[in-house]
Amino acid sequence: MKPATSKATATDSVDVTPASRCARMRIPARIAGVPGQTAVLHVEHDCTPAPSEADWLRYLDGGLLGQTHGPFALAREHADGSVTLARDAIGERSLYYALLPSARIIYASRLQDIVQSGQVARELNMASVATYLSWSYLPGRETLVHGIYKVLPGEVVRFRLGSITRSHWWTLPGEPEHWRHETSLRRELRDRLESAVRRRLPAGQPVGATLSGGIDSSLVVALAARLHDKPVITYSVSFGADYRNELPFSSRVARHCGVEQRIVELTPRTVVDELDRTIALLGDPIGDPLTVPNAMLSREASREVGVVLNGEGGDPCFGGPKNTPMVLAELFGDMYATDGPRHRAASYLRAHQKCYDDLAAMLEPAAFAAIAVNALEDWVTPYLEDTRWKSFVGRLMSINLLCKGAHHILGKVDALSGPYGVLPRAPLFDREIAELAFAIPPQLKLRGAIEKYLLKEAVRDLLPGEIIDRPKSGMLVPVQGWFRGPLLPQARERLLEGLAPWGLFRRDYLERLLDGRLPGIHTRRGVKIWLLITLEAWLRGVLKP
Amino acid sequence: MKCIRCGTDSNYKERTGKKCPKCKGAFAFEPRDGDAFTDPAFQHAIDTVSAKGQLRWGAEHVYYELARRQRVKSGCATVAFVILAVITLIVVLKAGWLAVVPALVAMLIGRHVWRTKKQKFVKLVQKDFDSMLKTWQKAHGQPKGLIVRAMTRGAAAPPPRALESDIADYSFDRAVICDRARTADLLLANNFHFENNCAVLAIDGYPEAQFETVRAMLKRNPRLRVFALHDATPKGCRLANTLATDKTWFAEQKLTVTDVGLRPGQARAFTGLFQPPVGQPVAAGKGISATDAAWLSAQTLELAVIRPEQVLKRLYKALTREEQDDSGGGDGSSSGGDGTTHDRDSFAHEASDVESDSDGFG
Repeated sequence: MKPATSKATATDSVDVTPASRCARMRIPARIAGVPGQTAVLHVEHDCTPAPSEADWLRYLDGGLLGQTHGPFALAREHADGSVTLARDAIGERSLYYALLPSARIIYASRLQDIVQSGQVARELNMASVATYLSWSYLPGRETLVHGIYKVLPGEVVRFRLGSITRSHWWTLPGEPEHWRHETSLRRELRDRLESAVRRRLPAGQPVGATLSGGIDSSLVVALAARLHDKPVITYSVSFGADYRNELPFSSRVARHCGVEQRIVELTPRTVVDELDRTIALLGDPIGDPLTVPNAMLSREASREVGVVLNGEGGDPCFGGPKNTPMVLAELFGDMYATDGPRHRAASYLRAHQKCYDDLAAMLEPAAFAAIAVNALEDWVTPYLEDTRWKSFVGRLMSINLLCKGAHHILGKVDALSGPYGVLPRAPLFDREIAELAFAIPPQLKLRGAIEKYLLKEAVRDLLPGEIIDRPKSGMLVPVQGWFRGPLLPQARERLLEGLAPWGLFRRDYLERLLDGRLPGIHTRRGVKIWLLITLEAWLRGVLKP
Repeated sequence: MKCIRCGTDSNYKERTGKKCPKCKGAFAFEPRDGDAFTDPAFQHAIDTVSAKGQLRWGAEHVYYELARRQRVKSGCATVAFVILAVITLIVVLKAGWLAVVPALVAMLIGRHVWRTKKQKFVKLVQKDFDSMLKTWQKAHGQPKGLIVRAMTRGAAAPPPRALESDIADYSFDRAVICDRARTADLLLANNFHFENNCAVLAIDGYPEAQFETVRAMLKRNPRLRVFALHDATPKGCRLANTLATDKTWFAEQKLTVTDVGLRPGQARAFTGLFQPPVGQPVAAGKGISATDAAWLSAQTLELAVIRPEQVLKRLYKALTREEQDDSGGGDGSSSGGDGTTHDRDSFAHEASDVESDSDGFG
């Protein structure tokens, strides 16, 4: 597919680039902000139907970006030197910027392009290091590079004469005053699921789909198999016979839906070989062990298909994990006055099960001192107190969508698909589905202890009962086993040697972590090592290549 | 005695006014004045029960840690007795009448050993320990990790927050029901509930503010997994049976309750730390076998005898083992035939690392 380019009024140069199988055009690093500059519009999108450049200008000038359907990032340079940046509602495409001296701005789809331009000092943002270690990704505007920021999902950033103003063209709707009936919601959800999958099917071409065997990816495959008139090819990951895998479930779904299944086996050797290349593709480090498997699935899929559907979005929209631990934390409260008034925020950060409680022990004193007191808790507290959601679980899910959805899941999928020549499409992150999800009472998402209740009921006829009702397990990556055995030497080298020049971490902590000598009941050694080797690879591959 | 603040070793004369000659910090105890323990010994007991400061613990855990040390001394006496007996024998063979002195010493030690071997009840008097703890707190302040309920802290306690409107509408995967509040405290203070998606209650209605709300929430999950954690007391050993058969608990849901508590069959290793029986002879039935009833009629044993780290690790293993063996009748467990299952492994051996082979993401 060729990029669609044409002239538009008030714009001398236009580069409107719909996503393409062969060449996914990114918005390159551009410096702008000088009065008299050539007016130009850059759009990277995967909207259906594809808007023309005239449409984009109309949407932007008329405040009509809500009329788009699909992911986009856009940048418009005006002749008067002002610049407008905007991003899709949920965060399926990325856009970064930094302010430069002499009232100029630099922006790009990829943070790496801004770093490589040499216009911004390669200075580590210490506060973001603590955020990354606690969340495993970077929610919000800040990045790991001092001075480089993200345009938030649904946000419009306007630059003029050296200063920035921000507004939102879309925000997640709050809870309605009155809830609709379950039956009506279930029917509408099913309609929107079908519509979201249908819109993402490539006409006249086979479509790929990642398949873990969980409810989210399975329902997307089932709908695609039913709605698409060309082959649906599924891609599943296996970690080999020595480790637990989900293949019995994914194979059951593939058979049930009558679709082909490709299995990508990921060995520890592959992880080592692909780690640096994979992490260097990420604008922000994401300490999720699924990064390399995601990249390998994209590579495998690119041999056969141009579009790959995924089941991302089910957890943040319909009630996945972390809700019940938070309900328990809320119920029992701070009975022993451990955290004080920030108990709720501390519990939320702790629920990520990363390094929130380890920061004082793991960081060098100077690095730890750079984190403002209570900064981590104070950042998340406004989300936890947002009165637009009257229900506690509704509020938790809004944070999951706005933070994890936008800054972890979609950022990862976006960064790890394009370079391999495939387009990722996430029907469950469809804006209309997200909006409907927040019109569903939280009690129909978390029903008793059953997660994603209404989503499951909406597709019960499409999948075998053992898939719909299987106990929750999550997609597990055997990092603990890897770092006990085959990957331990790599981890030791990367943590003890690779991280040392940054002066961030206490060597005694790293040694105890590697040797399995951290105290406590749940040390989560494998997860923490993965978090740190990701950071090391990112620092080496992106910040100081 | 070493000062636990600055590490300076001093003798009795140097510790004027029970203060360290170097840092002038106060000592809590003075063995020369009749105190049963030194400051370093007391601190060591705290370090042990807190897993070197990683866990929160109750005063009862330090009590048993110190009591365990007193019991250990009888082991030393046994060794001394054997050595002296050998020396006596040699001296008798070599020097005749000279054997009288070591023989007398050996007899005295032998008498002590015999008494301690016979000792099955804990020797440390609770009142003495309470007094020791107060003395310790006066000299060294509140020890780190000691579980103190916020409600007992008076002005320091945060104001209670009203429950969110929807919070009672949900449920959980698991519940651990304890036979006493302080066991629930141990789990809650160490975030066991949060880490394991597991409600924690004590059967008598603790924690008071949340009890009925949480109990009602538990009934919203027809597949709830229930675990009973308790002392080896008549009340404790009946706990699983009560939970499975009492309509205010889970009788109507017909849930199987897994007994992961301390039972008489696991008590032998704790001889010398037993508590007296609760009163009347214990009748068999309602979760108590005839053998257990006989044992419980003669003594009891508190769960606090097991160090917090071991309680938490063993409980975690019991929870995950029960889920792996969904039938509830696999190795290490047996059916009680009354809606209960006994997890025989829970306190049968040392629990080690709780990390599983796979880690979740996200």
